[in-house]
Amino acid sequence: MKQQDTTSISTSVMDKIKNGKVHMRPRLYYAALSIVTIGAVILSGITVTYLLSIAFFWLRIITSDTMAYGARANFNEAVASFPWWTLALAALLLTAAILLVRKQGRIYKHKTSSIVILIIISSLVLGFGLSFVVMDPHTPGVNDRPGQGWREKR
Amino acid sequence: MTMHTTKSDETIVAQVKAGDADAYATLMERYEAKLIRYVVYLIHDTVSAHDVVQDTFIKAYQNLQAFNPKYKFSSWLYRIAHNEAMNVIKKNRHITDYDIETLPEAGYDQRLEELIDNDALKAHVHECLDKLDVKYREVIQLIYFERMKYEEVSDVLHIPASTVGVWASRAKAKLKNICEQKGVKR
Repeated sequence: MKQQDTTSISTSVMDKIKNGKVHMRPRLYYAALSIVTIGAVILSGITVTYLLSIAFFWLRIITSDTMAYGARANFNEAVASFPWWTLALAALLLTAAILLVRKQGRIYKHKTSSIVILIIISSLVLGFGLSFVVMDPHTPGVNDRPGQGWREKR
Repeated sequence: MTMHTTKSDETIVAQVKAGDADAYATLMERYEAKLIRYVVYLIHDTVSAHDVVQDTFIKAYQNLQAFNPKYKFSSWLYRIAHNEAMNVIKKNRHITDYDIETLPEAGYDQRLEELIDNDALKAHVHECLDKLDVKYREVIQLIYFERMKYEEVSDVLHIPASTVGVWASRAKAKLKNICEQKGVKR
């Protein structure tokens, strides 16, 4: 009975394969999936880092010894022109990236806590670094933009 | 078909990928009985187990191009079976113990008995295992019944190898406890 059942599974599957009811997915499908995964990881990384850089910039302003007018102006400008829909995009991309990486990669070989700590630390470091580069009024060129004449040039 | 029997799984997979669909039958023959036993112990339903194994083979064939030959085919196949079995468990919470009792006694690694340190366990091991949580039962099953290494179990369950060790250790302790409670004595 067992042998019969076992044989019927093989036969049934082979019949489906030979009758064309079951197809092997092409390599192109997996190549496309890998590209989408890598793209989602990169985009979510950039978005999260940029959001963190704004947060860090704000923290640096409120903890500053001076009024930091230039920095505040830059921060307000960044917040006013910030496309808030990227928050939803970041959440969506992060979810997609996590799902795709879990499905395709071998990230499970490492402890979840280690991966989470690594992601948090790298995001914080990059976000902190970016807060100096992108919006800092001391960055060369930032105060040279047209319409910024009321600020003192350094 | 016999010409495939001495070849490794990974070699046969390469043949199937290259277009020799018949070679896939050899792979199925190698794993059918093992997968049925594995799935029956997880879902406790022989009829559903056959469906799960059939779906496993179909999904494995459909996704064969995604299989990386650097890794073991068996672990990859068991992973698909695991996912399919978990879907069945999620759908049917009410499972019976009947089918697991009707299974023929499968050979298992003697280390299990040594670790439990109990001669009488041989006759009751399935009965005791049945009372374990699914995740612990699966770890015990893969290590001692399917004779997989921790790395392979890690690939099947998608957990770190260190976690496999921790779960195996807990599972053995729980199994010993259950057997003692059930009155299985030395």
